[in-house]
Amino acid sequence: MRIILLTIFLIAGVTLNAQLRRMEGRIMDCRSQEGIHLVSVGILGTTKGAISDESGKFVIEEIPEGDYTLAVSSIGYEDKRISVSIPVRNENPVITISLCEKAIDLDQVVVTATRTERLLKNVPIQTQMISAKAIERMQVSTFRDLLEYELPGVEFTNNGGYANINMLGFGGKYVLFLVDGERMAGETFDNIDYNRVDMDNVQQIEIVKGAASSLYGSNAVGGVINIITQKPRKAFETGANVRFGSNNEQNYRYTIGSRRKWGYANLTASFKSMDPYLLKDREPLTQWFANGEKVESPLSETYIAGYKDYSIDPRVGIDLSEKLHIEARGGYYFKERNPGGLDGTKVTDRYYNYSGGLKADYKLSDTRHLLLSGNFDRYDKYEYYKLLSEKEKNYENSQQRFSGLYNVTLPSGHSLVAGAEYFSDNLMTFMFESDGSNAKRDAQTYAVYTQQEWIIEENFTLVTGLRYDYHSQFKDYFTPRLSVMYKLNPKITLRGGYSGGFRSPTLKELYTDWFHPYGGGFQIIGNKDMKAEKSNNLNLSTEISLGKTVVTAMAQYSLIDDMVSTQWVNDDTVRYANIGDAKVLSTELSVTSRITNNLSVKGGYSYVHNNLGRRSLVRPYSATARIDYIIPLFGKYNPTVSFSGKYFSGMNIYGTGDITDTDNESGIEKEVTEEYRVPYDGYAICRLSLAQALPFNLTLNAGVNNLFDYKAKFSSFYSSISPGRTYYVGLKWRL
Amino acid sequence: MKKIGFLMLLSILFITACDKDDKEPALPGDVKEQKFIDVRSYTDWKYFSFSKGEFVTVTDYQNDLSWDIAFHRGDVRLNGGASGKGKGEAVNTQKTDWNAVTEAPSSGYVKDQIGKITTSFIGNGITEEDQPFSQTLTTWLTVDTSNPPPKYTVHNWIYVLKAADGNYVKLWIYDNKDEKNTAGYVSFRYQYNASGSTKFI
Repeated sequence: MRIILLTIFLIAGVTLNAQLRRMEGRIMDCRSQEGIHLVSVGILGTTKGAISDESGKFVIEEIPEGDYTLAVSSIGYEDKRISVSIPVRNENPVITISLCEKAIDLDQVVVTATRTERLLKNVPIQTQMISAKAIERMQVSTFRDLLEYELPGVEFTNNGGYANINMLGFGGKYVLFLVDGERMAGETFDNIDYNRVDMDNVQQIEIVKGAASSLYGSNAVGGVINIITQKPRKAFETGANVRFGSNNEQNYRYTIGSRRKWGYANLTASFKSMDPYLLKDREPLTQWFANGEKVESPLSETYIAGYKDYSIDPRVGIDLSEKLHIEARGGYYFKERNPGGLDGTKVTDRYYNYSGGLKADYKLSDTRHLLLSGNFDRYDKYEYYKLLSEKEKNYENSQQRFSGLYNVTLPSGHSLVAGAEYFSDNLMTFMFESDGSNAKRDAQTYAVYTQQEWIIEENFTLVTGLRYDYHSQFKDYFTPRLSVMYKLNPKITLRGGYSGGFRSPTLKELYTDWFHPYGGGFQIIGNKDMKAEKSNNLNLSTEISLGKTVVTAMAQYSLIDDMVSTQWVNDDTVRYANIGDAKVLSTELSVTSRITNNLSVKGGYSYVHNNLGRRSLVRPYSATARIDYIIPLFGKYNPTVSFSGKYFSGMNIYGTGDITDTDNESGIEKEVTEEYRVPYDGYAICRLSLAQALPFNLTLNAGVNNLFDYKAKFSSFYSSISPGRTYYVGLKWRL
Repeated sequence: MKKIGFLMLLSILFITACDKDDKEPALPGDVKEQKFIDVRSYTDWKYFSFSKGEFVTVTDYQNDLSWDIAFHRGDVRLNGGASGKGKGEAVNTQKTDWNAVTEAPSSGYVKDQIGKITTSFIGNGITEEDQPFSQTLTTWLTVDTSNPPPKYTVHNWIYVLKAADGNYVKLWIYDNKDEKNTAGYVSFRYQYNASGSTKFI
């Protein structure tokens, strides 16, 4: 009897065991054939599933035999459903699954437009997102190169040797650059130091166009560009990146990081340098006068400054509990700018930046969240006299910001963000005192703001926002916002609205008292009685998502009042005052398409028109194009070839000058002041690059910048500073 | 007898010594430099003597032979022509390599003439005066004030000129700024042939 029972049990046991199988699989990127981490694999109709590990492998245990459908999904990739049969044979199935990246990943998370996390497709305010992968494909050496050569609507002029941005008609004063949501101290000609942004450390760049002062305060008039840095994702990761190029360009980077249960820590260090180079005029800068005469400037040579900078950025994040996470970060950056030529052998500019921040993230509940942060940033400028081994400080700007942000999602789907911040701006510059005593000036801003998203219908969202700023000099200022997002159908999303912007005059514009030695010498004085510049911004955008292709079109119209500018008070004094106004209309169109698994293309076009008429200094339109093609040669080690180009339209710069006019009848010559124009040709700069994956986690990058060797005919503030065709080669290693 | 013999020997020695003096080649002078000299003043000129190798004080420049060359911001004056009683005149060799100019040119020298010199520059206005200066040497620097900051172009030409005493000088003016890159200074390299030689090597 016992033997019979035992046999029955044994047979039952064996039969039961024979029916439970183990599924093993590997998920890989359809282009690079690399394993994808954190892919979710689930067996539909069951509770069984797994998450892939760092090499893309996953295991699901104890699956009864039968036919199933696997649901595979991961952020950034197209979802996949696969039919799978668990065989009755004595073998475990091993499955290989290939996932392809989305053209534009509208499921990526963005934060800038709303100060909370939103999926790109659901964010109610038009946001453009450039992912780390897209940045990697651009193979740019510096942040300025990315902005100048890969984005439509952005151009740089070279004012007195310093980079000056113009984004869709807005200059450096009207574009707010943030790193992880924090402002950067220090400006030169109203521009940040673009070399401070380390391209390899970027997780994504979010661009919100139009006024966003209702969330970010002063300066967010033309747009906000928020650079979000990478945080470690693996238990141990490290990487190095080396690049060499023309003009003795060198980039070295090293990063090391770790993510564990307790949190994460990482350290990045970088060094980059490039020699100054000389641009020689081939044709003269010509001023064409209305009476037919022309005046040609003599051919000259201009040095474009070289740089040498290094930085080190440590960061630690600790999960104190399931609800509380804190992060501390620091940063040190040093740059030496060599103006080139004889001047560069004697004097260089040295810049020092120190920054640090602390963040505490408290999850009150699944729907309520509190974020506290404190940030400090200081930027010093020195002149270094090489022959005397002396340095002289001529500028120091330090900023501190403390803020609290609370966000809550209500059961109806509505959400609300409320915040308060304190911002202190301190500046010391040689321009402050005419006797050179370098006084310090400061201003503080206290602000409270709120933004609400109302889900009126499933496809209709309304955004309302209001910010109140109290500036120690300008007192109160309110900035409102009203936007809507309407999903016409699953493919088409419309967004539009009104937003207010403002810019409080800078400490320089308030307190300057300086004798400008050039042009005969004149005094520049600030004006403490100025008002903040106001702007009203209307924008409308549409996003059409057609599976493999995404089309976005945007138009915006801004009116800026009380613009701060300089005016002559008398023969030898110039003063800042609220005297200008501007109307800027800009439109932008972009198309991104994945034509096949291996070929993707991108194109963009932008047009700017302002009311400055002949005083305008902006090229009216620009266009970009990019093709990325993965050559299917070596399987795992397929090379990627990319071609990209940017076209800048021509323009005329107008001015007035004295010329000798000969009277036709009497033959008498006299000096008259007439208007002239200087024509600037349109031009295109194209780039060709290659990325080749190699064994041992290496990638070879090589390319040619300015492929067709475009060089400006003459050098001035408004011409390209490209030295012509340049080459580079680099090696990247990532573990 | 011995006396005459000795006298004859002495005279032979003298004669040959004199011959030697006549046949001995004149040596070129040493190459010297003056750096970062402050000539920012719009009103005053600074006067330099090649033979002394230093700057000298001059009260009546048109009747004074103790100076050879004078500087006033980017302007240069020689002791000759309309500027003084000396033999100063200059030629631009159009070469920019110091070692390529080995000999003084035989012709092409131009004397100083009267022209416009800026004597003040305040606010939007410039004041000019008629003063004598070397138009040839003043070509060493070009200033372009069309777009601030002013663009200075140093051409690095090698000039050959004559000092007040007529001796040849090879001159290279190479910098218009001081150690801190403040404009209105002058740095130059010169080779003054005290022997009167036309050769520079």
